[in-house]
Amino acid sequence: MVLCFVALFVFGILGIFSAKYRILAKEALGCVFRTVTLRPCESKLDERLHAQIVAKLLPIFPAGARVIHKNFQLFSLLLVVLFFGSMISSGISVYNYWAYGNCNGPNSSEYCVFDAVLGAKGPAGLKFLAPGVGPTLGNGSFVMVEAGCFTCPFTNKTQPELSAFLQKHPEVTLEFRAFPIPTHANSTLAAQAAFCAQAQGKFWPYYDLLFTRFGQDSREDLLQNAATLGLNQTAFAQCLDSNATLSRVQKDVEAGKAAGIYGTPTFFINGSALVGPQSVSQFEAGLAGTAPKPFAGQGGVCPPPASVLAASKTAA
Amino acid sequence: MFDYSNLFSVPSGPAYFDSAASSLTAKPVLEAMAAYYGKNRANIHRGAHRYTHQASEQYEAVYGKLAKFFNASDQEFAAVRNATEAFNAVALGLDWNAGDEVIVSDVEHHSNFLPWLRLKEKGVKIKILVSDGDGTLSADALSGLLSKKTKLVSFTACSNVLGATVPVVELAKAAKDSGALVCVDAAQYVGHRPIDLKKWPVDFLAFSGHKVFGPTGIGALFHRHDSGLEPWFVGGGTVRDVTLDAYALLEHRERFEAGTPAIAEWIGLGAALDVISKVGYPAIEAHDRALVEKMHSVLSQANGVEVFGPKSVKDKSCALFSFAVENVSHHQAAVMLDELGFAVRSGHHCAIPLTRKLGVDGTVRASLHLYNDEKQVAAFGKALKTVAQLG
Repeated sequence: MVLCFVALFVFGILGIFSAKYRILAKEALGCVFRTVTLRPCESKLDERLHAQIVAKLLPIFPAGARVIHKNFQLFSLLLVVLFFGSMISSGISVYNYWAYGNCNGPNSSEYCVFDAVLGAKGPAGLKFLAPGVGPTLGNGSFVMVEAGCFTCPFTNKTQPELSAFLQKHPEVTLEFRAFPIPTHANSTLAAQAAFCAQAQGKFWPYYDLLFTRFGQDSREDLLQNAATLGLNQTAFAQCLDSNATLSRVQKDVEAGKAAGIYGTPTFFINGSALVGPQSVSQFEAGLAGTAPKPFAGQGGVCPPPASVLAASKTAA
Repeated sequence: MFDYSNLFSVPSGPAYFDSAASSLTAKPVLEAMAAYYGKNRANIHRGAHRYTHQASEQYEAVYGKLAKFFNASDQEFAAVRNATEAFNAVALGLDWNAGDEVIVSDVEHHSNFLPWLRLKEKGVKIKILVSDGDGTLSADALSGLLSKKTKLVSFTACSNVLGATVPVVELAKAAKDSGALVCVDAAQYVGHRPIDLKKWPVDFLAFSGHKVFGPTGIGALFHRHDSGLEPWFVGGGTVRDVTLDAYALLEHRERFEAGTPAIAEWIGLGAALDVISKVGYPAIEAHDRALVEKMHSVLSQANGVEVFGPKSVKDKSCALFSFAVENVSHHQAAVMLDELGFAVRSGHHCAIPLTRKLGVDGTVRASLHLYNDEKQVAAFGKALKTVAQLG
């Protein structure tokens, strides 16, 4: 009776908490053993499960109960297929979470249930990223540090609000720190390109172009951006291939990890860390010091893989 | 229909339709046992203090109740754990010789079958009294089996699977006429119909407390004084004298009860008999009749339900019904009925030869008693129809 496979798993989990289910799990195990050896279940667990499922349906949906009763083997098989499908899918998700920082695989920033369930990533341990290292925009007395990734859709999403906020508040200076998400293709190369543009005094125009042309981040695209901004192509290409540029990006990343950054974008301002895309009013709350301290989350973030975070914790 | 439910501890869940396995407990039974445990718990017969006297009086009084209840001598009853122990006691306590014959019917509960079957190891021959289609036993069929070698005939007064009326007196007379001992399983019968042991020519009769509103783990064995039964156990309380190489048993009933008995349960059993006496068998029979009629009507209207056993009220002496639902196993049907609000039993009911004869591996059994009413039976009919529609 194939349903015993599902029963074994379900009762096994419940059995951790209740002796009653341990007995049922043991019955299910016996049933599984007999099923794989092509013998009928002795414990009648299959019959009980059949009867109880049908009985639960009987008072509320008699026609459905009839269909399930008459086709219970098929129904069981469907449940087992769904069960194993779900297990395989969960396994893939767990691997993706470990390898890419997201259940949905590389280059995805969709919602991942493990973020909420595991709580591994979060404000615990988030430290403020000290300003004075990265390229700055504006001359205001308040410095807001942005740790961002040019290939992260959430960093991209927040740009219009960020621009509006900066225009409205000239007292704020924006400082950028690169935190490329390694599972996104070309994220590090894009950060290198931005720093190469900085070498030619065009960081912020290049920054804007990367987001304007979001998704166009191949080496050719990055060189094309440089051409668009009238940068010296030879110097730009040499800079892009330079170990020094790569090293600079890596230093930013290490600093970001040390600060406990667990996704992009993250903004540090006036004692608050704003994680994820922000609205103007939320930036203003951060500026006014009325945002929750030390952390205010909003929407999704682009997380680095769990393996990267684990490595940074070990290093710390 | 009179409402007797206040007399019993009735659970608040599904309606209880499993009295043939175990009845509900009468409240006076609980009170009697609580009084013993709470006020004068002490061992019996073995002390000089007042508590042991009080306990002994309460314990001894139950023999008197049994004697009155069954119209027999109080010396002819022994406390046992249940009817199963009683039949084993008879099988173990009689003197068997190779070639002796035992006749037992094919509708018996394993309790009244296996103890006899085991006697084959001693060279005893087992003959089967075959029932008719509805589970009724016939004196004519029995007469055909009786011989000078027949030492004992054992049969139920009411099958726990079919509930059929058994002509106990006719069967017993036929057996006695040929010189055989007669043993009757009254486990189902006592709760539903009266027994007068002056009129029933039987040598042994047993029943269990848990089927007559009493406690579990207690029952009684009637053994007629001239039956030749010897104690199956010996020990404390059974002897008049003991030397280093011999012992002399007491003459009367004490010789059958070795060791400290289940005192509270025995007192509870006495209280249960009081409840039956107080309600009265005429009232019980009338209540049964109404329930049986209603159940017959309900079952006959349910499509896809095959009912086993007698179809008329007069042929039922216990309010129990076995049936099968087409394309729904007995176990599944019982689980579903539980979900729909009725606690019934399923399986072979410890009567595998009978269920095999019926051509099934088990049945659903609904068994009723004083705490059930026609309204419940009508609702049961609706639930059963719902289950039968699955078929």
